[in-house]
Amino acid sequence: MSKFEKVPGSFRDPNGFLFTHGDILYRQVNKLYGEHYDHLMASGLYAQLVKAGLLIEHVEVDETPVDQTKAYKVIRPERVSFINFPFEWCFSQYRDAALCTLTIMRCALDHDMVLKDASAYNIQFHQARPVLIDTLSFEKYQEGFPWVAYRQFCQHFLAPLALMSFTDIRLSQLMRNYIDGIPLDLASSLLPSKTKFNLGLQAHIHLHATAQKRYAGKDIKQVAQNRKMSRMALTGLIGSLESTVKNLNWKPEGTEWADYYSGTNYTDAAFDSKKKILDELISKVNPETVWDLGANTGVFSRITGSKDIPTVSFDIDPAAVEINYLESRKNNEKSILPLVLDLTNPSPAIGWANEERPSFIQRAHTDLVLALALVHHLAISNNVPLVALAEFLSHLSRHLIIEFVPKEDSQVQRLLVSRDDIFPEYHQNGFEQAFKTCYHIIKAVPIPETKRTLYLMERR
Amino acid sequence: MHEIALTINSVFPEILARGHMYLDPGSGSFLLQILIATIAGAGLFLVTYWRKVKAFFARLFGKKQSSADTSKSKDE
Repeated sequence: MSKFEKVPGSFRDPNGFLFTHGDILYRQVNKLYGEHYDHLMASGLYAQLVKAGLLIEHVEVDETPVDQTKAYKVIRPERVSFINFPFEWCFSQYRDAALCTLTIMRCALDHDMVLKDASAYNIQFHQARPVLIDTLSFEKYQEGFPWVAYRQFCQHFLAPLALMSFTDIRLSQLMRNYIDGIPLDLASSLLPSKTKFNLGLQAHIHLHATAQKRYAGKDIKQVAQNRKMSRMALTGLIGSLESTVKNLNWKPEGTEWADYYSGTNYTDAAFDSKKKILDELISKVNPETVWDLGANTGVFSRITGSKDIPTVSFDIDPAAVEINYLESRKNNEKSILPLVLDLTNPSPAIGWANEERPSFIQRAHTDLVLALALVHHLAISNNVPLVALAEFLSHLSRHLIIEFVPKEDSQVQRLLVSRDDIFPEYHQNGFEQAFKTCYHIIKAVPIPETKRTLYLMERR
Repeated sequence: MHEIALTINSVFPEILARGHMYLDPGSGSFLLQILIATIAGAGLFLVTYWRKVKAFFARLFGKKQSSADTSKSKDE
């Protein structure tokens, strides 16, 4: 008999929680939330948001609740194919997620509801678009009451976006460290002085940080002194946050790989051959899902993406991921999910008991991994032994398509320019021997006009 | 009127006392939000009414113009 298991990251909200029964994901709605859930469904808000692709769809089911004394209903939400986190988003993904949250808040207010939380973890990129996955995020609007999630929105969305835009794109990684968003005093001190002349950032980050410090530990009832906040004021606040977010920009330039494809040693013919060989190898696997590791701007991810095979397109460079995302958004490519990931230090498990948000490895569940022009970066730049690399990749999927780039290749020569060659086993035979410890080599195809070889392998 | 004001004023302690919020909104964040929202709301109010005033005059002007056009076409 299959087990009921509570999802570890779903414990903060007393209104309900996620659980799995077998392979199916459910959400228990507690009695405490009953009136809000009914209003969400009856007011037309749920239908409007689902139709607009802003909220995950669900069905009510007869499944036995985990906690029967508290249960009001059990719902089965549509499952997101790959759970992604804010520190894995590029700038435009983050910005779109913030605007999605504010659009939902506006729609909710039109139906006499508000968002009671504004966590970036409640937004997932699903079929290439940001979508709210927490059905219990809504509550009935109480006339005159301020937005409870204002602080959370500023910490989870505005602070990271402002830091990425004005200070350094890599500061999105602070979200790895601060699970409830970047503290506003830290954001305020890291932002350049010129942001104090930006009305939105001055108000929502700098003044906000000062107010938090000044009123820290003070009784909220005394501080607020029953001051009411009209619906017009709340709409104005949402508008102010929206225009502040819309005014934040970042252009990918000057980073490591943004002009990668114009700087490689591939001829046009070699590039086309590589695509053709890849297409043939992928057809042999016939995968349902694909992960492209070191995908750069996603040129090869589009071989599977264009066939409607869900493809996660990972790269270390936020500029490459930004270009990839903008391309997929422009062409409405629903099967490609570009994400930022440093394979030498993949996303760890974070939060309470190290279980709240699972690690990259814990989320590994795919049919095929593509590792193209990647081996030399991991084996030479990061000194990863080839056997360890084979072992790591074999945890991710059953099938692997991997490109071996030998030392004679100019890209590897470039990596060895500034360091000693301490890699005597880095050659084609050494690579095959190392990978045979974990894989059967099904096929090896040399790429014409290059010194490189493409391999299709199956895990032992 | 007094009743409405009393209802609104009683919203705060009531919600806070009932423990409806599972998030800590933060005292400073709460106060600052009211301040910003009041200013932003006033701005929104002015913009909305300015648009209405403009639309009113545009309609008035449009009507005059269309009636002038009609009379012109009649003359012709």
